[in-house]
Amino acid sequence: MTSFLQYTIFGIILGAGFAIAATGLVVTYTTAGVFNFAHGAVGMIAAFSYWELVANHHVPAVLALVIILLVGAPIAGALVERVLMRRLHGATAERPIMVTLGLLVILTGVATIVWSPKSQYQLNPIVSGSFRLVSINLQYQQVLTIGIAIALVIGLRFLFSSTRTGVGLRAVVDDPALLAMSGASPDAMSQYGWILGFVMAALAGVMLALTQEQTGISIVAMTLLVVNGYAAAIVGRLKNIPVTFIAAIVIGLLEDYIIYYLLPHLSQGLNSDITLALPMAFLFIALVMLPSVRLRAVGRLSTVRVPRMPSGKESVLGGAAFFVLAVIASVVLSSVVVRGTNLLNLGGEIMAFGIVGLSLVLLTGYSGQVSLCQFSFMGIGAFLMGKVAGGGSLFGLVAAALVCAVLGALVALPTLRLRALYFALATFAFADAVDQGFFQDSRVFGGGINVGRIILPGLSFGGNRSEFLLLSVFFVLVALLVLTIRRSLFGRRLVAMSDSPAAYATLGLNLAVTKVAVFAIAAALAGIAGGLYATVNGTVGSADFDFFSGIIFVLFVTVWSIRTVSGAFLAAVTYVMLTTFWSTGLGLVAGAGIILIGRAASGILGIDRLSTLLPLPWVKRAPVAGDSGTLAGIGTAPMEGETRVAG
Amino acid sequence: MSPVDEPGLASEPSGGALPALTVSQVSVRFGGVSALTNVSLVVPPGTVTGLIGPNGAGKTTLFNVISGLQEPDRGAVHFFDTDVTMMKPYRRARLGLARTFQLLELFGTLTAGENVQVGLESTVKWWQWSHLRKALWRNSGSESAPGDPTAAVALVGSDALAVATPDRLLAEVGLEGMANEQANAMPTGLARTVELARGLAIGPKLLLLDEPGSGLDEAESQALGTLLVRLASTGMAVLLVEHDMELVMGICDRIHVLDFGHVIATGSPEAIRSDPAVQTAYLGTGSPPGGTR
Amino acid sequence: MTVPEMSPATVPPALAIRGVRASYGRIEVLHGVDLTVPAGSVFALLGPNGAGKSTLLSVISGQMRPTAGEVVIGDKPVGKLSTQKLARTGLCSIPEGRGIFPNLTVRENLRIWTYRGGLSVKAVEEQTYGTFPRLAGRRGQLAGTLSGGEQQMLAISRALVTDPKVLLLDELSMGLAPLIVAELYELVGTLAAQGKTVLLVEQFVTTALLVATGAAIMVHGKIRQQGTPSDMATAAHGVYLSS
Ligand SMILES: Nc1ncnc2c1ncn2[C@@H]1O[C@H](COP(=O)(O)OP(=O)(O)OP(=O)(O)O)[C@@H](O)[C@H]1O
Ligand SMILES: Nc1ncnc2c1ncn2[C@@H]1O[C@H](COP(=O)(O)OP(=O)(O)OP(=O)(O)O)[C@@H](O)[C@H]1O
Ligand SMILES: [Mg+2]
Ligand SMILES: [Mg+2]
Repeated sequence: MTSFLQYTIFGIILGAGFAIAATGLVVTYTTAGVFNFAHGAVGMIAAFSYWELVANHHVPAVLALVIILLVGAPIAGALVERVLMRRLHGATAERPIMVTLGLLVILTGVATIVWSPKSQYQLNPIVSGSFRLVSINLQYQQVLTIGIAIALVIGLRFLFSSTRTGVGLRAVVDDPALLAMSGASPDAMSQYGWILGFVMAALAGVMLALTQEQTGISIVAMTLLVVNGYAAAIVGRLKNIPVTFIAAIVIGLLEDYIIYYLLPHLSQGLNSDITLALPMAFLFIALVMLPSVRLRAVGRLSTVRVPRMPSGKESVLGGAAFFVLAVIASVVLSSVVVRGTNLLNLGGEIMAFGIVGLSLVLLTGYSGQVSLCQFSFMGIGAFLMGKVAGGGSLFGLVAAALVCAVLGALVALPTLRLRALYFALATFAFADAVDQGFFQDSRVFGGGINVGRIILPGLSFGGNRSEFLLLSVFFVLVALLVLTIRRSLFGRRLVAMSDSPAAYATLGLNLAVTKVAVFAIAAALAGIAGGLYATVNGTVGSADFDFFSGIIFVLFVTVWSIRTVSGAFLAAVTYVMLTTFWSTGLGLVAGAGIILIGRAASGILGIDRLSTLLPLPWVKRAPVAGDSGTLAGIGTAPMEGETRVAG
Repeated sequence: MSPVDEPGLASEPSGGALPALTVSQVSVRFGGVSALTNVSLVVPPGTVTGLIGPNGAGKTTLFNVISGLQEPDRGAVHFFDTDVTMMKPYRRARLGLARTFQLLELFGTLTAGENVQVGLESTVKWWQWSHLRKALWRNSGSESAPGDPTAAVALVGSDALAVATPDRLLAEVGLEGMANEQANAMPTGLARTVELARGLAIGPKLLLLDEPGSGLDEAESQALGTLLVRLASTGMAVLLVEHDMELVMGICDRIHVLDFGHVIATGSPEAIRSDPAVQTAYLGTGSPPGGTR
Repeated sequence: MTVPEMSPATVPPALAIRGVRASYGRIEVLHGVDLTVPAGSVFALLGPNGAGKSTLLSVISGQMRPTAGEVVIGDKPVGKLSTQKLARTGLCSIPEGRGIFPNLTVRENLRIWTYRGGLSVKAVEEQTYGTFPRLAGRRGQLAGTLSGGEQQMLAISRALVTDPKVLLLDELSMGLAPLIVAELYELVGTLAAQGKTVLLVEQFVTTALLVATGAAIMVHGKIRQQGTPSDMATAAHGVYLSS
């Protein structure tokens, strides 16, 4: 009985930590309209800075806290707002997701350079000492965490509903131009919002780190710890702070009970650390439990200018030219070896990743759905390629396509009724689950599985050249397929569906079918890409498809251009080159690229003037087409599909 | 899919003909407020029926109920003799019900032509090979397919895909040569007209128009009136919400007036204009100049 | 109408636009616009769809920078001022379409209006509900779920409660019932009589010209004609039918 009470209290304390993280997410969403995927990473950096100050430089705990919360976090928040976020209003729905993912990738990259990713860092409580409550030993530190969480809930609710500044902070999300016309400074509002968000993230990081005093903190664990907050924030629909608080406490309790009661019985027979999968599992459950968005007319027009579509003839000619270049490259590069790597094999990998990039062009570029789990399908495709018909068989490729298509449909079915952001979060959780639960399991890839090259009757692709050309052919064919889809009525429907779901439905078109279809097709393409990738080097391992690399790859496609075939190809080139020759810089380059392109909807390839490219504070942004909100409804945030929950 | 040439539809809206739309006793509440209370009305085929009323009277809400975007708390909606009250929006559209929106709902990143084309192709199955093949060799959907050169509105809706092209439909609503404009860069008035063309493209038997005239200038507004009358003469049923009284009084065969969610009057334009209840609630008693809207 | 007659020659212009050009990306839509609006007058800017009227208003309110020319309010060129500074110096612009924050409640929208002018929320609410009783019953509703006309009322309420010196109204009557439109125009006349300067953008000639003391017609990014309301009424007719 005592132990139950003890677990309950610890669960509440853990939940209070999550609550601080979750309310921070809600704050950022409320004041910036952005779900900050980097929230956990900001908290992680804050926690490590705290360790650095206190343990390494012997700064008093309270002073360290003041430095981090009142100096470091605000400056970082203001900087991020100025350089990254201010330009995002009116950008496509996928852009804020990409930008915060970019920030996540950069911060994790920086942290792994400064602190060792393998080690655990030990922290001491801010306030030491403890007291007994009934029969439980409670530390003042734990009481402090709960106190802060409750104070935040009350304070923030008051701020957002009862003060003009709070209302202004929310208004800037809806329509900065209108806020300016009303006499308030939208830039200042947006800046305050991000400062507040960063301070909350830092506070959450430090407070959560301090709950981990037995184990100490590590970079990955800290970032994941905050993901527990994601689920709570989702339950609160990213706007209701009291509900978020309660959800966070419940999640804290559940997690504690699972770890102490359930896990001891389960953990035999499991090869991976299941506690790492818990946060994502909660997130997925929270998403699936959300009510569907109601279809409604919101009077919103996207302001995005899209690149011109090549005609059928142009694409076929382009494909042919690409293939000729590939043949030339295969001759020139056939014997070039750089640092022990055969360049032709790298070329083959590029084609395979290029196909994954094309699946993203179809899914995100055309239909506006963000998927962060294309690497999961790729890995599953590679796995099947190695297992079906003894490996390296065309049947493997067919199996990869079919299984991934079915799996894709299964992922899409429960989540397609959600908003784009929630859908992206669901793929985020799914990708992590596949990585932790399947790829990392030693029985799946183990030390790597042997696949071998494809053998067709009368044709052998044993040589590196023929293999490279085979993959080039595949890339060209998939590119033509994707372009053809865009020009076909299905492609028009994809764009139409993402531009106005309400109009789409009232024209007699079925949203659900279209969404599942495009997601399944994209999954199948990624599966095929995985199968082909597996044949290049003859062996594949779990590290090839790791969760984080998947995110970085999406970022590269966005940076180059998620609306064009060349964008997909260049992203593949960048990704493969960096993973091979400078893997430490992978995340940093991707993040920097995202910062560079800002809101340019079609990435680097879509930018026509340098002044729109560089986020230099002194470069005045020219009134870009579609920026000014002259059309009715331009620039206003979409109405949320739900009515506000009172209380 | 939805041929309009059913026998009897294009005939006089006489007492015997089946109404295209029958709304019976519909009520909708939002929280504590009634947006619609026991609203009943019919729209016969081959007429332009007006729906007017003060701001917030419930006109758009009624459109949402009819097109399936809003579930009514009580009451029923019949499309000819099909009960569509619980039907999904896309299935109603396939029966031949099209609408436009008060606040624009265009496909902004598509061109005007493509917007219309999405409507034209709405009944085609995307996996049919013939369309993929076309896509491989054609530039974009906006070029004309060979067909009947007399692009009369009457053709719209019969075998739509064979004879109606985006260009022709756009020309029909007065947007010649605009097919390649990206929709979100068009001025509001023109964009509204593209929405109308897109609705026409699915070949509707019933057309719901939510303030199609706002954002149009006087000449365009007159042209719109002529077009609507022409559409009705082909047998289409048109339900028009509009605050431009010149337009409404000029072309409507019958007008329903909503106020605070209740139907307060129904009748011919002349009867409505002189109805004292309508004057106090909506029109005003002063002698409004012709252009008031 | 109670609007006092003022001749442009004797009253200093409250708003002057000189040779303004503006473009979206590479496409120029205003090709050198000149316009002066005397203080205390209601000036109607007419013109067909796509003439560039809304674009001109975005330039005046500081949302778009002109590529050439200048805008002068009172006696100061305002080229360098940001939109919010302009708003604080007494320029109120009600944009076409939705001049409201859809995810805020009616009441919260009104709270935003208090950024300009020293009014309390209470006073703003009283004044708004006085003019638009419909909104009173909807104060807790999210503005995005209001009916189209109710949204327009809420948007216009900003012009009523912030006591602006210069008022820009883009398609004021759009989506509003005839009765309300008539009331609003009367109100516009009263505001001008109090010394406020109003620039009205309308497509419907007749309504706008009832209250206007001066008018101009804009076609293809240029002022084609300028004169008295009645002259412009006849002129506009020709322009619309020919364009
Ligand atoms: N989702 C909602 N929640 C609460 N109230 C709503 C909602 N949608 C509409 N209403 C209210 O219902 C009433 C009817 O709205 P509706 O949009 O149907 O009016 P309308 O007749 O179309 O008016 P208008 O001419 O101004 O467009 C309005 O008072 C509106 O505020
Ligand atoms: N965001 C934009 N991007 C590109 N072009 C635009 C944009 N907004 C407007 N335009 C173009 O600028 C021109 C002038 O538009 P504007 O909205 O100023 O016209 P308007 O006179 O207000 O028309 P309306 O009466 O329809 O409101 C139009 O040709 C329009 O296509
Ligand atoms: Mg309405
Ligand atoms: Mg305009």
